[in-house]
Amino acid sequence: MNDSNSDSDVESKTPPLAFPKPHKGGLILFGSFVALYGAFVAANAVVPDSMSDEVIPGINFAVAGGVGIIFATFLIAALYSWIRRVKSQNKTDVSQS
Amino acid sequence: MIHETSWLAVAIFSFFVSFTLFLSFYLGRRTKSAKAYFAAHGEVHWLVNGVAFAGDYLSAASFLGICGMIAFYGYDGFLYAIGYLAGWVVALLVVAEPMKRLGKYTFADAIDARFHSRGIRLAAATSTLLVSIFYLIPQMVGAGVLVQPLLGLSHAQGVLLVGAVVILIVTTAGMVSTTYVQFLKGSLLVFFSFILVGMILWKGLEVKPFTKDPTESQGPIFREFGPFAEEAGLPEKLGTFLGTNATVLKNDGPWQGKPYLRVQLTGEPGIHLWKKDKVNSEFFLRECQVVTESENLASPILINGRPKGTKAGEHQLKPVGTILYLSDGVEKTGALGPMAYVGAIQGANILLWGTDRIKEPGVAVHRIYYPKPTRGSEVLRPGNLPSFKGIRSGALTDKLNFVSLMLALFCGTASLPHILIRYYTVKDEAAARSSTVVGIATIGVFYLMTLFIGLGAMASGALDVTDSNMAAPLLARTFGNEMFAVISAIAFTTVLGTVSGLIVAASGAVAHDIIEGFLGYELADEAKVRAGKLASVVVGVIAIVLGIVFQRMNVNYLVGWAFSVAASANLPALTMLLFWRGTTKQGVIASISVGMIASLAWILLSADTYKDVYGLDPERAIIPFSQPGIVTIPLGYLVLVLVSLFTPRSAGARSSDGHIDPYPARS
Repeated sequence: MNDSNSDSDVESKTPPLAFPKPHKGGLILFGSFVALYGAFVAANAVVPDSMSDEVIPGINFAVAGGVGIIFATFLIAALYSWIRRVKSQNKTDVSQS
Repeated sequence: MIHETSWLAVAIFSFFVSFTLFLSFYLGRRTKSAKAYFAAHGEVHWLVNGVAFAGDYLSAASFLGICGMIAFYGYDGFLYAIGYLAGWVVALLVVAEPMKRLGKYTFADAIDARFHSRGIRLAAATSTLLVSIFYLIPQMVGAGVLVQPLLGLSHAQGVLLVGAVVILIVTTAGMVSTTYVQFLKGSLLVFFSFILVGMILWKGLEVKPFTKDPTESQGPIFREFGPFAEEAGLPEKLGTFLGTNATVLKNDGPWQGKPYLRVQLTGEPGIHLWKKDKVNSEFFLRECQVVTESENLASPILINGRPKGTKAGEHQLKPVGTILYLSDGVEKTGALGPMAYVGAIQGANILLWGTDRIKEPGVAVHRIYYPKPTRGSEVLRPGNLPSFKGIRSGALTDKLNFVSLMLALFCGTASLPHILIRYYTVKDEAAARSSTVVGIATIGVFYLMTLFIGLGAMASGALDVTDSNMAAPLLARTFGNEMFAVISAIAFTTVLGTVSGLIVAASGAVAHDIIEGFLGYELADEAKVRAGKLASVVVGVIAIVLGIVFQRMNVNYLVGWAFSVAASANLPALTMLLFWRGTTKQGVIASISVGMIASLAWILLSADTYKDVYGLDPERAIIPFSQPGIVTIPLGYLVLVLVSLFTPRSAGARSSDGHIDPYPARS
């Protein structure tokens, strides 16, 4: 057993490591999704009977909302991916120029 | 139901298992280093890793559990699917890139990147082990469920078989074989689910109403007598309908006041059961199914009055799952588009089944399955699942229970150790992000399909009333033995893929975090791999034992618990390290420990555990609602903030480029 493996010993030997700063665009998307998901869960919890009202013939709020959340997840994933790609492309262009 | 062994299914299943093992042994020859064993060399392509994410995540709970919940309770099962997918937004936007940048082999690597603390290592490793074991239980239960009809083995033998195969996969090539098994499984699962959904929509819906024929029914069509204007005289009327060899027994003892009529047929040792239903002002008598287990262990189990079995003079439970009525009096719809299919269900009347249990002290226990005609509009709204029932009651605690579960599902995905370690198998942060996007697309498409698979099973006339987990394979059987064989075999690889991932996560926690990080043994690369393999065997054996013990629980429900523990223990520490510079080592340790213990204690003291695990009266539970997330996740954050405020900061200065430097110069 290595007795020298105390917190302070290891800490002093380890090189600095940068913590990634959360991406601003990602945080905005995250906030929007939390609001959407929160509203959906709240609607199911608070007015469950109204969830069976039809939005369009044959499709009620519950199903439409659930499928909507799934598509919103796709949209957010695609948007975030696009934002990050554009940003990294811009960085590359700046460094090359 | 007693399932017949399908030899085609056995052949496909054997091919899948043989191929998986061959792959593992082949890849095992190149898996000698710790980086290869725990992180697949960090060289997996992002597309493969993305599909492997789906393979890892779409567990027995997703495939068997969600489809089964939708088939038995409707929309509530779909709510689970929505929560499971929504959690990936947290994984993508908050966790993916930091995990890749900070970690190496385990979840603890990332959590401990700032402080290098043995305490954090131990807390994070314990949480990984606990969550992995909680998550392993439903996978193993699912395995036992599948193997029973597939191979004709008992539940315990099935769990043992799966455990043995998975231990072989993991101990041969660790994360390398696990990744490719998961990739294979994810692709096959989505592809064949797509085909199954196509078949469901092509077949459409068909009405199978109650029959008025008094002779023995075979299921899925059941008998109904009525309507009757008044309740008085119903026993006599039932006796007359059923004929001279039927005696309607008096409702005494525990049967008194119950809405059932017991019928004894001449020459049969047990009882048949009918339920009195009041619809508007009229009464109906509807045929139930009953399993009678005598307190005298030597007596056989009776199904609807006769010994359980498939021979002449024996009974087995009849298949269920029918549409009683379609809107506008349509009898058969023909092929339908996805929206028209949901619309047809919304306008239909569907025969769901409820359960009851009556004990005659010193004589027998009767498990009763009774028909519940339910409007489609009710099936497609929240609140049918017993654990969600309260959200329509107006009771605050019931609503909180639901919100708590949905919060745990949202927060839990990005806290699951076996998902988090998949970020180490790709080369950089961009690949981590891209593979998460691929994972979201694959998983989301699959969850959309679960709605149709579940609703298709609900109307399939093939369900086993005792086992919601078998809904998807039994639905597949209605399209032929080939489809049943393929779907069962894929469901089985589903279990293999997820269990392998969980065991790799747990073995990493033991070898890398506890033995090296906490105990301080410096292991050479080979010794570390050996320790990981040994840990895999131990965790595998624990999973086998728990899979046998928890046989009767819905696998999806059990996964809900794993999410709650993961979200309460891991997410507060993981996110606060990224967002709050004041986070201290002690705060992280306290948050993980308190979140883990509080969520576990809450679950163990909840009404659901009292009822399903201890067999006690749920009313005696001291916890107001069963899902802990809404209390224990904020508690994790609160503890982290409070402890961090009262302990010295050892890190956190922001560097000039906006990053947080976790190792500032010591003062």
